[in-house]
Amino acid sequence: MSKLILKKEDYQKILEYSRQHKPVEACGIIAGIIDQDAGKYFSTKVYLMENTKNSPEHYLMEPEEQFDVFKDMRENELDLISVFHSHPHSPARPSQEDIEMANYKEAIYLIISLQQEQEDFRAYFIQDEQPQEIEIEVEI
Amino acid sequence: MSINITVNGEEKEIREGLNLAELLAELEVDPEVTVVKLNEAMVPQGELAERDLESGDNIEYIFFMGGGAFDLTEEEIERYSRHIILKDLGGTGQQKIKEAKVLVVGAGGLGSPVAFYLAAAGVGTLGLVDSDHVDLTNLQRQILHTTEDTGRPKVESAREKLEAMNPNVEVKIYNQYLNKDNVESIIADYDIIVDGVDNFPTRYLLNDACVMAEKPLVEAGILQFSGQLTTIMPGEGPCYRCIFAEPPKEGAIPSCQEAGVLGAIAGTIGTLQATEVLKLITGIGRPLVGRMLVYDAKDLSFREVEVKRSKKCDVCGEEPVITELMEYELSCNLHQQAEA
Repeated sequence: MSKLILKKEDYQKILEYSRQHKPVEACGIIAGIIDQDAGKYFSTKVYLMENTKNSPEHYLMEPEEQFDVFKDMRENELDLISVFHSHPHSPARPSQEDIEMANYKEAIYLIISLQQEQEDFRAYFIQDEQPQEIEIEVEI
Repeated sequence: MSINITVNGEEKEIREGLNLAELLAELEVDPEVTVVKLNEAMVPQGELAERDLESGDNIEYIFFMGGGAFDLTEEEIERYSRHIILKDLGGTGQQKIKEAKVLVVGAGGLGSPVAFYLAAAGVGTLGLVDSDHVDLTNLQRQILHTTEDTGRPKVESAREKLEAMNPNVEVKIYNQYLNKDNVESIIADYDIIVDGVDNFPTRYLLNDACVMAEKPLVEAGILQFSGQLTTIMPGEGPCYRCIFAEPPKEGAIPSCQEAGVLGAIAGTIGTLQATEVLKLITGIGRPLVGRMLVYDAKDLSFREVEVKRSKKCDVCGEEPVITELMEYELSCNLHQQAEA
């Protein structure tokens, strides 16, 4: 069973960014190290991205910004481990649009729901249009 | 012959003479979801096949990273586009409508417009309760049914029309009379209940059951040239018993069968019930809680009456005496000023 392991500070950073942008969807990229044998994905760097849609219902990252992130990851020898976005008013499960746009088959799609007062982080692999939820661990 | 290029930071040896579109095909990359840069310059999708690759070229590509918060198909987005463009509603509101479960009790005069508009609006699960069969005298106002449906169970006739109107809606039917033994289990599966019944015993039973289960109830009645409407939000506003503690005495209020009803009034009041349900689902506006809307068709006027919770209410007061569901006897003279 795969597991996304987020550093406490990364978790906080993502949560605060998502809350700041509410009611608009926030989005970003998590880079890190993958232990393939153990199925563990460790976060080491979070990139907070612009949502070009600036919408409560959609997100789309800016391609030029995405190119810069991938360049930075290459330079720091980090892997893409996760793509995250917030659902300000809906549950933390992938929508049809999320599933259709899950173009990075090897990445974990992390959704942060701010629907309730208590945030809800959920992580999925989305392959063949089938989301499969995986465990999240927050490292203290 | 082969040439050396760089793809996303990695050196690659490829056949000479390939263009960018061919390279993506070899890499099994879908150009529709990809943004490509050749030597730091973005290449429009339509020009990929025109860019021949040369030794030393630096190619970078990314896939679009995007998505949405709601779960609507292309067909649904088009079908509900007039909803989705409403600033207050949007895709998020339409998603809530899709996830909602609404029970309409009575597939008659009020139930017809309520169910039609809720189905059209895309309510995901619509329950219908009615034990009656379609009668010719129903057709002057019960627009879910047609002349050909005479004699058929109302819920079956209704389901057929609603599914034809919107196949995305799951219509669940209960061809049974609502009573104290089945009401709790039927309403349990729904978020909002709509009252479109034609008699006082069922109206009080539904009120009590909704209060006990803490389910919102959109309550309405019609008779002759008038109608009334209120939304019961248990714990927040008055229930039906707060307003009318007991059913009227036998013969005090005639039924539609006895006194008649202008058919279109069922449309007016039922459509307001549907509106109220959609407001409750989406959280838009101010629900009709603690207020009763009274409609006079002859004068074509609406009047709003403030209604308050009663501390002495038998079911939701400070010392409720009705703690288990009970039924009044159904008498011909106990027909409510409502027609289902």
